[in-house]
Amino acid sequence: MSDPSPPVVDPPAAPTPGTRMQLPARVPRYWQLKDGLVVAGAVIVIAVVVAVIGSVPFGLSVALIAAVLALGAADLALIGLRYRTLWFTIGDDQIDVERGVLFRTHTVIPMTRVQHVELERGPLADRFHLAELHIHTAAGAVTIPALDRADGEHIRQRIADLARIADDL
Amino acid sequence: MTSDPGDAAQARAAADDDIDERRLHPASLAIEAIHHARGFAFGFIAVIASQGLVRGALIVAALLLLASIHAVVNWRVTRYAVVDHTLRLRTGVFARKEQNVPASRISALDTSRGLLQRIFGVVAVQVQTAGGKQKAELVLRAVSLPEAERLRHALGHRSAPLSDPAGGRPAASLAGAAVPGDHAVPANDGAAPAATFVHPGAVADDAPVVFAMTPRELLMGALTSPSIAVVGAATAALYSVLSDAIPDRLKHQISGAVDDLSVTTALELAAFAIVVAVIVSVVGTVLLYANFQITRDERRLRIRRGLITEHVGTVPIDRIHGLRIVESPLRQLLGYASIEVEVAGYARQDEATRTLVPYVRRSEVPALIERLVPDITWPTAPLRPVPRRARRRYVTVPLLVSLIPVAGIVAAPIGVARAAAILFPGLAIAIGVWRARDAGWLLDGDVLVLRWRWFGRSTLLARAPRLQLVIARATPWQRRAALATLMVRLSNKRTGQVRHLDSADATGLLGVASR
Repeated sequence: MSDPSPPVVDPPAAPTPGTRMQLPARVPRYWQLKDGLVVAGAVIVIAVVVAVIGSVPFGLSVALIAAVLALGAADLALIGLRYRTLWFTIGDDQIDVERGVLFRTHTVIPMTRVQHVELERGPLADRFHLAELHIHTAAGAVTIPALDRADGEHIRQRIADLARIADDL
Repeated sequence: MTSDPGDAAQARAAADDDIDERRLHPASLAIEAIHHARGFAFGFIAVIASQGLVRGALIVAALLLLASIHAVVNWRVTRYAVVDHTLRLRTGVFARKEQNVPASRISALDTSRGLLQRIFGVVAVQVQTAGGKQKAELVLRAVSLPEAERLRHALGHRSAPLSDPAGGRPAASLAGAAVPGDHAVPANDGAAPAATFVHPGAVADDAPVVFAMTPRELLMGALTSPSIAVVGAATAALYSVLSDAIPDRLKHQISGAVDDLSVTTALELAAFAIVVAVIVSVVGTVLLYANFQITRDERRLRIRRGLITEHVGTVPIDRIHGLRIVESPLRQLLGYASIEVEVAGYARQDEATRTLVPYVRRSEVPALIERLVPDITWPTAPLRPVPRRARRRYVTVPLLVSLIPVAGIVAAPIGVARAAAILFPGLAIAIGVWRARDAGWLLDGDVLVLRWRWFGRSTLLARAPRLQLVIARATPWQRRAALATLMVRLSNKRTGQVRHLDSADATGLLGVASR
């Protein structure tokens, strides 16, 4: 299992085809903003519910909000690590994706098994010019969570070309 | 596209193979009506009960009328055709839906005949494709038997009888079956005149039978099927534990006003109920797999099973991505195993449909596999075991799980059972060691072999080029010991895995499907 070191730019002598690529440098900021919004939203929802119900003890609501904030802080703290430990490779024969901070998972998709590739954009991702890449096989999809949109299009096209003779049977 | 050698011949005769647009057999109306009547019977009874006889009957009649009109319109509007090796199905009364399935995407074509279908002389056709989200990609609810064969022929799924009739004899056991491998592709493949379409029964007589189960094997298989073992063991254990663990003093105490005989009676009734369940399970299994028979022509397997509902599946051999040999503990003890076939499209199907061989002697498996699916070879070398340092890791999880009942026993006041506190961890360690010993892998040419034990032992022989995903996973503890878990995912979304491999081996195997 590889350890989460920075990506190698020059093709290594190792048998891995293609170069290891990381997500764009602005992705941690995107994640921070996204998760921050989720936490803020949760706090607002709790506050509204407490205000509507009215009879919630003050200590409980404070504890709830504190818990949400603590979880959010932990999540934000891990974003850097999550970013550094994710890499992928689009080779001629296969696509590699490795991710995971504690529990590392290295997934290989043979290029000939790719059925189709999709780019998904949310409103926030759009602001950052990011998109999520979904690679579909007959056994399910593998995602690369955030790519530069233009790069994503290039990669999508490249995979579509390489997988031209895709045969899912 | 496909490696189907008959394609060229079939392309020439494409016009003959096409099927003009037509409707389903009218029997589909009756069959659907009966199906729905069974479902709605309770509803109708409830309506009549609540609304009174006259009003209830009127309401029911009105509903039935509406339903019939909808059914008839649906039938008139549903059409299928085969054009240029593509099956086209048009359905929908208001929202028209057209489904096109090219023959090259069909991984299996199944027909089934239940009692209703037999009465009307029709079969139901299920077309399986890769990546199917639902049970079958396309279902034709009722077509006549010759029509089903015409469909098989048009879509390239007909089991052509071989040119050497002497080679095939319906064999009562495995020993007498001929190997069809060296026969040339028969001349009538693709050039058959439109008139002579073979009745499914007739094909079974001509094509060589590669595997058939004797009635004795069928019964043994039904008796040893995993659910039986589980239910039987659970019954025995439950009965003995409960009737012994409750001391007589306690029985007297809890009974009180209740006659203390009834406690035993209740237990005996429960045991009786479970025995009945076991019998029902055996009978059900026998009905499912009766007359199990596999015939084979050059490129296809034709699997027939079922007593009341006859189910016939044709699977092109090159659509088979792998085989899974399953040995439950009981069967392994007796020296038997079952074989499941991994085909794209059999994703959500039940166990019966993906069973290639329900019950066979373990020693005969290599030869049988060679007869059935020659592209997948039994490993020629012994499987490579997991490293020594992996073995104790197989024990940790069962051991932790066994601590739960131990905690329960230690906390409970039942004195006798305290001795059992040692039993559970002992059992857990035994299971862990057993699993570690059976774990293994081998890359033999084109075939990746993975073997593991959960409770029963599974051996997956997968065609490496057909693997969809290859995944290596490592927990922090595994990483420290340079171990990893290797998992492969097949086109039917089923998986195989070996835990705690050496991480260099796992990383090396990651590229196995990409060459």
